[in-house]
Amino acid sequence: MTVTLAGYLVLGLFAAALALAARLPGSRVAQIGDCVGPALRSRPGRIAVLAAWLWLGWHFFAR
Amino acid sequence: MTNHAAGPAMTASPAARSAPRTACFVAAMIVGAVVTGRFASFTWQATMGVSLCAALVLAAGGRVPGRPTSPPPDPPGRREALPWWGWCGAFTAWWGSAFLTGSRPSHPTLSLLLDPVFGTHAGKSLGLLAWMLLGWWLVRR
Repeated sequence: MTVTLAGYLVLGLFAAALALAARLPGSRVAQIGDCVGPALRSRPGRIAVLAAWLWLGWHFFAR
Repeated sequence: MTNHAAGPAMTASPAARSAPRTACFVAAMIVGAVVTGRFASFTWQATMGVSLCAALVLAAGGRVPGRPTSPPPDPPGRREALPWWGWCGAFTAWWGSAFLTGSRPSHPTLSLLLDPVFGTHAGKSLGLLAWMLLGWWLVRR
């Protein structure tokens, strides 16, 4: 379990580092919103992303 | 010529005019999270509560003023988006390895790890609120 937790901690810290790096001037890392945005601009993409969001809610809070 | 008859409502900025509606929406999300957070999982009350929270975000979230009206930015290039895709791949691999190996106590899935957190009223309510805020962020894009 410790190894699993450490893995998620590393992933979380990496995501935070990416989010911070994306905000630096002249950064070569895209912001997460800019990556999700194009998917949300097409109807199938929007349905897929929102369906994933709905599944997350049901899985963690209603299951 | 300036229209001096215009009241404060006419001269207020769009952000100021939308503030009450945004506050109402956020308050509704907090109430939804706190009420639904009381229900135990695997009950029809929890399913109904989560459904209503989702309906609130999907139906009202995109209509709350403050939705960006500027033209969307150009999509990032592959090189700029690569670190995020790499992160998604790593997360999926880590989560999937636990899922496919049967979520052992030594390598549990994220759901099992979060069970003690979401098993409390406060933890579940905060989780629900975070989930609704994520949904709001998505529907406003």
